[in-house]
Amino acid sequence: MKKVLVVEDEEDVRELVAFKLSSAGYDVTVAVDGEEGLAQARRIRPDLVLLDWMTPRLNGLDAAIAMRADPELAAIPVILLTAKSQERDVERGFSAGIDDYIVKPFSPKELLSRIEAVLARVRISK
Amino acid sequence: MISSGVLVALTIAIGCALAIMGLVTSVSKVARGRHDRRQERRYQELRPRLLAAIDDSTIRLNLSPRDEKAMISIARNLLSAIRGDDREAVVAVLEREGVVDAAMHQTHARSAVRRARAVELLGRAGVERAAVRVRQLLKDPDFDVRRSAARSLGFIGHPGAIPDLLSAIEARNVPLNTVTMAIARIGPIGAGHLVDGCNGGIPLVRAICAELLGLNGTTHALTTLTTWLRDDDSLEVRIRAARALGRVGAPTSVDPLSEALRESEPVALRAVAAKALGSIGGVRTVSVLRDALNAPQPMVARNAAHALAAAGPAARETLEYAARGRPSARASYAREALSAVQLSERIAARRRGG
Repeated sequence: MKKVLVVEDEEDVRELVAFKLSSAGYDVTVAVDGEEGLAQARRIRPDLVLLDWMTPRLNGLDAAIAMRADPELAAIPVILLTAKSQERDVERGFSAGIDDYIVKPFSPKELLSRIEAVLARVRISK
Repeated sequence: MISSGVLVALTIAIGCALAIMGLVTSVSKVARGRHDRRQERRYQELRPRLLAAIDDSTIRLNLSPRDEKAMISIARNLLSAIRGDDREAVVAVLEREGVVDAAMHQTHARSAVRRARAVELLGRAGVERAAVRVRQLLKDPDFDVRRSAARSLGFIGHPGAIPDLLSAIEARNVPLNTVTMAIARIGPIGAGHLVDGCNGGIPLVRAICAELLGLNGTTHALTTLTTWLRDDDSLEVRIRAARALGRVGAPTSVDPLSEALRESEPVALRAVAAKALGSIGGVRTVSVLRDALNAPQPMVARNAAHALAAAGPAARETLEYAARGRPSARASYAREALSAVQLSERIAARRRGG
């Protein structure tokens, strides 16, 4: 069972995403901000991390940068989930080394497809 | 002189008042904390049930009136974050379980917070039958309720709300950006209402209408925009009408925009008219813009140069000719505009992988 870490401060959205991923057969762990997300990532070594950009304490983008700088977490694929939709925001996200970028409001079905696609790419590249 | 007895009595009275205030604050803090914890427990219990019901339409939630109020908050958050089939499924659950009706009822609540939450849910869920009530709430005594109502009318998307939104601009009781965003969200379907509603309004309303009609890009408003450009008393309205005509891009707007570029017109209007002509493009704009390149006002001449750069191959040739001319402001603006357009073409080519 693939492990997905969901980092999202908005509880209703976090629970929805966790519910959808669990229903699709993923082993889901949740965190409420970037700091807790990094700690959880080090603890459970997920197959994929879904990061909300605007989280308190450490934001999602900085958490992604920290992951890429950490040799133990650098290879874990990251998807950024955010309300920031400007072109420069998307560019900043990809410059930070993320694997995909999803803008809120998002379609949970599309989110699942993108997670599957990113995980499939990782499988192929291995 | 105040006697010591009075001073002692006064000190005791102030002390008692402070103690009572402290006690009241503590009690209300405890009560608030207890209420929040109870509410949180209710959310924890309701959220998984709602999520299950989204995936399975046979599940019935049988909500109590208190549950319905809590569900309004949960659903409002979810609807602002998701789209697609799951969003539709959330709306279906809300309808099925009576949460939409509860929200309609809550728009009459004494608490402004509840009214605002309810109206926001109705907007996020796109409940068309709530539009009449939401329009009334644009005149609510509470600022947050009025703002939520304006936002919700944009989400519901019914063009009939446009006259009320325009009145809210005139009354200045809702933030301008909230109202304009709401009208913009309604989109081109509201163009007719915008034209009708703006003609009698104050200059600020007409200026915003011109901007919105330009964003809609509909040819429906060309006559109105042209009239505003030519005859409006407010320079602000004329400028925004010029910009809107440029955005719509109809060739019929070349004549009125060329008139607005005449030397007798205000500089700010001429500068915007030049830019708008560049957006329309075509052979007829070239001669007008070429003349405007010689304008003594830098803002007009520079905009004319940039407009020529954007107005197609024939205009580009004219600009290249001007750039090669003897050193002058005209030649320098032409070179600047050509460099800018070449840079943006290089960036676009790099993005395409060229």
